[in-house]
Parts: sequence; structure tokens; C-alpha cells
Amino acid sequence: MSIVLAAVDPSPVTPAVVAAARALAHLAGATVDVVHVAVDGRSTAEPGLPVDGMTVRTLHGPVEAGLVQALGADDVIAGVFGARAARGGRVPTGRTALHVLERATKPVVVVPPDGPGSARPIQRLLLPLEGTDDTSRAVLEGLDPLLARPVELVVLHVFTPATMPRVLDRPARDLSMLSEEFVARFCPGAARVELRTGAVGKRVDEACADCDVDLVVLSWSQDMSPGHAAVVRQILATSTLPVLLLPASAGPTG
Amino acid sequence: MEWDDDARFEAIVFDWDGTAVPDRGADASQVRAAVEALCRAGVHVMVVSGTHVGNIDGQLAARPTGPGQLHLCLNRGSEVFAVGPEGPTLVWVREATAAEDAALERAAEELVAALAERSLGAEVVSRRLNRRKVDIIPEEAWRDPPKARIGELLEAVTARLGEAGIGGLAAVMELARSVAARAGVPDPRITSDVKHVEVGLTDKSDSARWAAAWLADRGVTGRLILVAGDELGTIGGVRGSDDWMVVPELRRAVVASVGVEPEGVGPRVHHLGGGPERFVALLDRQLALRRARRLPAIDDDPAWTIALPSDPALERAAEAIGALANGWAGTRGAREEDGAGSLGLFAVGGVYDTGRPPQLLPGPDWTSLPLEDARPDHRTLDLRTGVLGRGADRPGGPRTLRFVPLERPGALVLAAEGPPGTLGPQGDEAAHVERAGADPGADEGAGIVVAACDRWATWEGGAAVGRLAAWAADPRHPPAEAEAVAGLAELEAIGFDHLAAEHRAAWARRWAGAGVAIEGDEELDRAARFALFHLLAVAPDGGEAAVGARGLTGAAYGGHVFWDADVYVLPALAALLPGAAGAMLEYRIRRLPAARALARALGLRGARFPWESGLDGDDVTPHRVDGPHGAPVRVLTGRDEEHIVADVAWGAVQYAAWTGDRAFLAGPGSDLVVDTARYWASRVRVDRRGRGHLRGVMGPDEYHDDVDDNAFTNVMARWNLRQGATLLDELGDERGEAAAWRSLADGLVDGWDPGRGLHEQFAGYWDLEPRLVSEIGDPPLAVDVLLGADEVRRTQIIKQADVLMLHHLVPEELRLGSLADDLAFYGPRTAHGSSLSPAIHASLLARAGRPDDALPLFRIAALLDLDDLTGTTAGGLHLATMGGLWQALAHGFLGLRPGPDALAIDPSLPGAWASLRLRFRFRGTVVEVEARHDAVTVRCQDPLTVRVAGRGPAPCSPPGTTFELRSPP
Repeated sequence: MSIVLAAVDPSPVTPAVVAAARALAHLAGATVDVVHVAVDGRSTAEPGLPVDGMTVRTLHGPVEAGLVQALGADDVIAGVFGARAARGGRVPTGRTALHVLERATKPVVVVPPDGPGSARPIQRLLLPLEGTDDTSRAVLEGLDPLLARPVELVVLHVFTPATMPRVLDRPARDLSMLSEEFVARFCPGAARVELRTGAVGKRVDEACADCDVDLVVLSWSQDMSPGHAAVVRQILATSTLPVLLLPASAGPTG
Repeated sequence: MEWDDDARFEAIVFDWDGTAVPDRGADASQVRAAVEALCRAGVHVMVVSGTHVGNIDGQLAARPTGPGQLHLCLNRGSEVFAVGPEGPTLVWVREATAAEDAALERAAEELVAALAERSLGAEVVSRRLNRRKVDIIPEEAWRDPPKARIGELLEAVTARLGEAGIGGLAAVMELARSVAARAGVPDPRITSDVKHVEVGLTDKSDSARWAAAWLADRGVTGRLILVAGDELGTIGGVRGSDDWMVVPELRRAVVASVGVEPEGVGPRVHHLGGGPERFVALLDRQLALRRARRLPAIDDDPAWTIALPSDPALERAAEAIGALANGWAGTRGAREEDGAGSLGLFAVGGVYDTGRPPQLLPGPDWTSLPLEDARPDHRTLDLRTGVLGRGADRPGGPRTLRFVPLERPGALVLAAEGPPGTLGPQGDEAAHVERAGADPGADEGAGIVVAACDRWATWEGGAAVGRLAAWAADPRHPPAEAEAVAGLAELEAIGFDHLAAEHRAAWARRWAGAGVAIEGDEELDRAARFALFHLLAVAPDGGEAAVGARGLTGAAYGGHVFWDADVYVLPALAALLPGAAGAMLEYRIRRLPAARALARALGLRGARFPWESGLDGDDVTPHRVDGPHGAPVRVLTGRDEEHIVADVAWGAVQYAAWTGDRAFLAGPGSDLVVDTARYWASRVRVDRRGRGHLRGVMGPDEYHDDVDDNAFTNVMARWNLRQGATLLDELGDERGEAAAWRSLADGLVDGWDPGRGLHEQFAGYWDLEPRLVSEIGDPPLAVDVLLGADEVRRTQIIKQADVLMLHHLVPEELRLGSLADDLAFYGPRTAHGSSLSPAIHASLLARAGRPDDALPLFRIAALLDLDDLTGTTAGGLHLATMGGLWQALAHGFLGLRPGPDALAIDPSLPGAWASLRLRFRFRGTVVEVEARHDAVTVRCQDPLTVRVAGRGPAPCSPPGTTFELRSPP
């Protein structure tokens, strides 16, 4: 049975992490394994973790390394972590989450500090795509092993001055045409595409609200150093929904 | 280079002696039978020989019945005979003048004398048409050597020459060349079959050139032609006599030698050997390929072929790029087995569904085939013959080929072949009928019926199928199946090969009156030809044509007719295919009643053509459309872009100017000008100062809607009023309107601002935020999407040529000399957010003496669809951009203007172009203008008057005249 790993700690985000893990496991046809990394030589999970009655498995050793190792297990298909940072803050995730994100070989869901705590089934995914073959393929191939159940894919493409259509004869009609073409080219299974302009992070937030999605999906190169992953930073910093990050190098696992 | 035994040829050009027969006494019955059978199969056959018709016809004695034609190109390039059931008929001869004949005689005698000086006996053995033949080995043992002994003959000749101290055959030929030149033979042709050296006025290259030109006139070029001989390598260091057949015009032909070729052949010649026996086998193989329904080849001339994008993401754009049409119907280049990801479409011009607004009715899918294992593949659009070919990338893989017969309105043709397991299962060969649109029993509603029939064949290496299909369509009622079935029966009687030959020839005729060549930029050269190809297929050469914005290449905008048709496509067709331009005007003429009704409904007079129209001429512009986010977006163009009224009139006048058909304007087209003028007369509001205004309009710049006194609209209305008045003067002004129209026109404000020396685009434009496009990004740029419609409306940034469009359409209506300043002002403010804009700006920049600045914009227009710059090519090709491209070439870079007394020509070429050549029709005759930086050459079929570079009228006589543009340094 495939496993979705939920990493919990005593922080307030834990209920949301567990809820997100359950939702993802439902989508992927997997079970949830709630883990807690014990530090300072403690041998059992901290009492009172808000895990909705689920059993918590305790790991030992350094937190970051322990989580990366746990994620690497053959039957683990994804992990769910709390961002451990203030939304809209200077850094998008806490140190631990960042460390794991940059090293994980599996998809990881990052749950925002005030993420939804209910285990609503995931019915609709938002896929922000930049409109290139490689990046689109990375998202679709990375996502595929997690889709055991039907889910609606909503694609978001945010135009920048560099990616703007250069010519639009009849804008409203041409944009509809472009939408169809975008779906055909980059995400043939998508239900629809949202075309927007402006700052990506802001547009993702808007689209999440407008389209009532449950999860944002991004492929990334796992490099959060300055000058890299600007879009991922923006989205992690502002998203009110869990964000699924697909390591671009991981490729399909299923 | 490997010989392809499966290659089909549509023409065979071959040498006679040594190639087709071993000698003049041989039995040629096998050749005769093969030649007659090939001609029956539609193959053109050209026999090339140095001898005369008596010898060749006496031996071959073929009496072909066609449709392929047999020609005998004889007397070493001096005569051509066409051979039919009644025998040979002379169709061309090179006649020597008396002086040329005398020079040939002198040359032959002097050659014999010069050889005698070297103690070599030689004789003038024949004095044939345009040549003299000198025997350099007049010995009994070598009196009539067979071709098979050519190696021995060469040894004997070389030895004989060596004894005389002559270095070899090449030395004799060089001697002959210098002697002939001294004797006054113009362009002497020196040839040798080893035994003889001939001095002539023509050689086999003249035969080959004639053959190549004749075949090109029928669309048979490149590797559709086999050139066969037995002396294609060197012999004794001398070019083999058959190598003269390999002229530049046949450089892409397949060349094969069945000869001994003792010194080998060049890299492009297939040395098959085997002599005449092998040659007859080649002919028989061609017949076998046809019996097996094997596919014809495509001439892969890089200047005339377009490789469709292979990137799967661009598949739907590729289907538009590879669309084929014949003006009546069009079919996209979707793969035969395609399903998901494809956007195939078969559409018939002017046939819409019953939706609101109506959309082009998709016809039955007639290109579907049971094809497997055909990818990866490549698809090639052959612009020369209007064929889309496809082949698997692996050798011997499946191939397909399709075309929409250019001059057969209801016909469609598809063929495929493939190795075992790739094509099939083989279906039955009964006719299948499919229908789209209204049900057969319905009282009304458009419909398209396609009847198709597959004919299968197998051969040792696989299977092949040829599909002929016939369509019948009716825009108002369900068409009868019987019509399509009858059409199919007619096609079946003609057959695939004959339809293909007919189609090639039809395209060749179309290109004979339309052409472009840009020397110095291969990419633009090909792109411009691609544009012309689709323009030439967008409308039929008669009847009526509803030319939608994307033609018949896609369903975007529902196939609705916009001003794109009148202002961009029509002027190009007026010069390239006048009948098609006439068909577009016929569409407008037949919709005048609807335009009058629309004017009446608005409380106005005359005719108000709608911004978008379909079958009936009613306004089908959507008032709201769903935006990309599902929210409705209001569309104001239908209400406000009234300039289309004058645009229709302008198209009619352009047609008359290019064709010289004043009877059109005086007759069926008069109301297009008069009723549109009448509309403006009722629409203009005159203020207390007597100034006329048009309020609440939208010009071509759709970033600014609901404006007053848009310069484009006002000036086009003024032009329309004046044209209408002039026409009324000619036709009889029964209502006494002309004077009022002129007065109204004179009072219309046109935006001219004497203080700024510029035309203001509309009232209040100067007050807008003075932003430039460069502050936002590099044009072209859809600024309205980037900034939002409200924000861009507050700026001076415009979507496309607006004031500048006037300089393009009606420069005589504007202040003399105002182009440069208007261009300098509006150029940096134009986002080119419309595909209509770049070509027009390029044209104007060239006119303003800035051709190098024009080039980047011209390139955008040229590559708009080929590179899918808009991301919407999937919805069909931008036909108006293609029309604009032609206008940029013709009006901009060549400076062509059809004047009342002459064709004006005033070139302005970019530095990177060595030359620009356009071929078009002007007042009933085909004209070709070739401009270089220092001269213009005008070639014409009939006498013509031209004005070159602003000079006075000058005569141009066939075949042509060159005009210097500047004095040499």
C-alpha cells in the first residue's frame, strides 16, 4: 500500500497537516503514516499532538535528516509538512521544511500556517503552468502517481511581458482560443485554463479563491537559494491552501 | 546515393541512341509499347536526340492517345515534335539565320582544315539543321559503331589523335570551339559522340530546357522527372553527350545512366548500366508502380515546400499551415489517423450552421484512414502543386498524399501506401456517404454531403489505397446525396493519376499569373510564397466568395467576413487572381439588400455593411462573448466600426483599378460605391460652422472605442462620398446627390492639426497620456491584455495602423508630405496588437524611404503563422496578414500603384535584399516587375505603360524593358 507521510510536531499547523495528508491519501489511494521526530533523546511522541486520533510513529535523530530518510522509503509516495512560517513573512517556510523540500525525492505538500484543518476530499487542483513543454510535462508526470481518483485540473497561466501573446486581433475571442490552445498543448486533461496577468503569487491566490480549488500544484527545481524559485517563494508565502511541490528531477514514480 | 526502385516519375526525359535502343536498326517495339502505356497513364515522355524526326519516329513509331504527352526533342536541340495518334507535329523550331548558317559552314570547314594541318584526316559528314558534323575517325572499321563499343571507340580515337600529336578528344573540342568563335558562330555548341565532333547553334541542353519549361508549365518539376541517358559521365575527358540534358532547370530531377560509362559518372547520377534492356525495365517498373497505386513524389524544392511543425504542442497550428483549399472548400492538414489533440476540419465556403451567431459548418471527416505505425513522421506542404505529403521518418514506412483539386469544385483526393500491417484492414470499395448539418428530410438548414470511394491495391511490399471523394453542399437546404454520388462517379471515371496531373497543371497556371521571389533572404522568400499560396486558394475564380478572417483553414471567428476581406485580401487577389477578387465583390453585391435594411433599421439611408457577416449579410457580430474566465465581455465593434462601409467601396474601386474593369463600377459594382456614399451622407452630422462629424465610432485602433471624428473613419467616408459623387456623374445623378456629397465631404473634419503638422487620430486624442509602447515592452504586444482595456484607453498607445492606414489606403486624401511625420509620431505608439498592423507599417516605412526599418515588421507579418506568433494559428491562418504581406511587397517595397494611365513603379528595397520580383496581373495582362537596387526590369505579355521612380510615362514592350534607377558610379 502506498503511504503519504504526515510530519507533525506540536505546532498549531499540525491539524491542517493531518487533514491535508488524509485528503492526499484519499486522492492517491494511499494510507497516512503520521510521524514525529523525537529530539533530545525522547523516545515517544510528544503527548497531546492534535492528530485526530491517529497513531503517531516516532522517528529518532536529527529532524531534517530523519524526515528526508523517511520520505525516501519505497512505499512513501508523498510527504506533508507544515510550513512553520508566518504567511506573508520574509521567508516562505521554516528551516526544517526548507531543508526537507530541497532534498526530498518525493512530492511534498506544504501546508500554510493557517491552512484548512478539515479533511475535505481534494476535488480540484490548480496547476500554475508557465507554458513550456518541459515544465508542463514535469507537473503532469509528477502528479500522475498521485491521481488514483478523478480530480478536476484547473490550469492557471499568468502572462508576463515576456510571455504575453504578441497579437490579439479580437481580444475576448482570441483569449478563449488561446485558452483552448494552451490546454491542448500543455495539459490536455485540464477542465479549463485561467489566463491572467500580473504578479504570479497574487494571481494564484485569486485563482484559488475564484476557482474553489483544494490544492496548488507546482513543479520546481528544489533550489530556494537567492535568485531561484521566485514563483515557488511567492506562492508559498501567500497561499492559503496547501501547495504540492513536485521535484522536477524526480520524474514519474508510479 | 541509392537508386529507389519505388520512385514514381511523372515525366521521363531520355536519350534515344544507346539508352532506349542499342542502335538505329534495333526493334523498338517494347519501348513503343511502354511509351504508349505510360502516356495512357498520364506520364509525359520526352525523347531527346541529335538526329532527325524521320529516324526517331521511324524507329519508335509510337502513337500515344494521352493524356500524357510524347514529345520528340530532336536535331540536337533545334526541333520539337509533339506526337499524337496521327503522328508527329512540329511544335517548335530554332531557325538559323543565313549568317548563322554561313558561320557554321565556315566553322566546320576550318575545323577540318585545322585538323589536316596536324595530319589528321577528318570530314564534314553532315550538314543538318543548325549544325555541322565532323567525323574525326573516318575509317571503315568505325563507320557505324554501336554504342556498346564506345570504350573501344574511345581508345581508337585517342590513339588516332595521339598519332597526330593531339592530346585527346577534349583538345579537338576546344579547337572546334575556338574555330567556331572565329567563324562567327554565336554561342557555339560543341558536342561529341566520340566519333564525331559537332559544331552547332543548339545542343541537348536546349532540348532539356524546352522539356523542363513545358513540364514546369504542367507543375512537373524536380524529382517528379527522370532524366535517363547512356553518356552522363565523361568520355575521353569530355562531358558526355547526355550530360547536356542535365540543365539547371532540371537540377533536382532524378538522373540515371544505363550506359557503359567507362570513366564513371558524377555524384548525382545513378549509374544503373544494363543498356536499353535496363531502360525498358525502368519504363515497365513505372507502369507497375501505377498499377499498384503507389504514390507520386513531391518535388522537395526548399523554396517551394513548407515542413509542417513536428512539435506535438504545435499540432493544431501545423494543421492550419498544411490546410489545402481550392476556393470552394478547404481541409486542414490533420493526420489521417488523428483523433485526440487534433482539430481537423473540412469546410465549404459560405456554408454556416444555424447557430447564433452562425459558425462555419464542419463537414464530414473525409481524410480518416486505418493507418498505424506511421509516426514519427514528417509532413510537407508543396506550394507549387498544392499537395500535402506525409511520410514516416523510417525508410519504407507509410506515406500519404492529398490534394483538393484546384479547378474541380467538388473533388477531394487522398492516397496512402504502407508496408504490411500499417495500412488496413482493407475496406470495401463501395461508395460511402456521410453527411453533416441538417438532416436529409429537413426543410431548411445548411448541409454538406461527402461521397467517397476507396480503391485498394497490394504489391509485394505492402498495400496502397486511393480515395476519391466528392462533396455537395447547400447553405440553406440539406443537399441531395445523389449530387455527391454523381460527382464521385465522375471522379472515378477520371482516376487518381489524371486528377493529380490536372491538379498540378492547374496550380502551374495559377502561379503563371502570380509569383514572388526575394533574393537575399530565403526565409522571407519562402514565407511570402507561402502567403501567396494560401491567398490563391482562398476564393474561387468566379461566382461568389465569403472569405472569412481565417479563410477555409480554421473555424476561428465562425468563418465570418470582416473588413479583412475587403481591405487586405481583396486588393492582393485583384492583382493575383482577379476572378477571385470579383467573387469576393459578388458576395458584397448580393448582400446589398441586407446592408440597406440595416441602414434603414438605424434610421439612415444607403447601405450599412455589418462588421461581421455570414450567409445572409445580416450583422452576426456577437454583442457579448464569454471571456477566458467565463465572464461575458461586451463587444462594441459591431456597433461602432462603421468604417467597413467605406472599406467595401474601397475594395471595389481597387478591383477596378487593378483590372481596368470600369464596367464593373458602372454596372454591378456601382451600388457598392454609391449606396455606401449615400449611407455616409445620411450619417454625417454638420455643425453650425458647417463642419461634418461622425460621432460614436471606432477606428481600426480598437483600444479606443466610442470616439468622435476618428480620422480613419472620417477620411474614408470623405473618400467614399467623393467616389460616389464621381460615379454618379458618370452614371447619371438622377436624385441630384453628387454636389451635396462633395460639399459634405469637403466639410468633414479629418483630424489634421496644422499646429502639430499631424493628423489627430480622433477628437481628444492629443489629451491622452502620452505613453510609448517601448515603455511597456517590445512590440508587437497585446497591450490591452497587459495593462487592461481601461488603462490603455487612457493612453495614446494604439492597437494598429489607424491614421497610418489612411496613408496606405487613400494617400491622396491626406496632406501631401504628411506621411513621414505621422509615421514618426504613431509608429512608436503602435503596439501592433493586431495581426493586421505590421505589414501595413512595413509598407509605409518603405514608402517613407525607410526600407531597412520596414524589414523587422515585414518579418513579423511573414512569420506570423509559420512561427505561430499569435498562439492562435490553430484557429486558422491569418489571411488578412497574408494579404497585407502582398501589399507591403507590392505597394511598399516595389511602389506599385495602378494609375489611370500607367502602372507606377517606385522601388524601395531593404539593403539585405538583392532583388524583389513580383508577378501579377494588371489590366488583363501578366506583368512581372523585378527590382534591384540600381534597376527595374518590367516583363510583360502585352505592351504596357509604366511610370518608374516618379518619371513620366514610358512604354514597356514584350518581353520586357529595363529601367535604370540611378547612374552608375
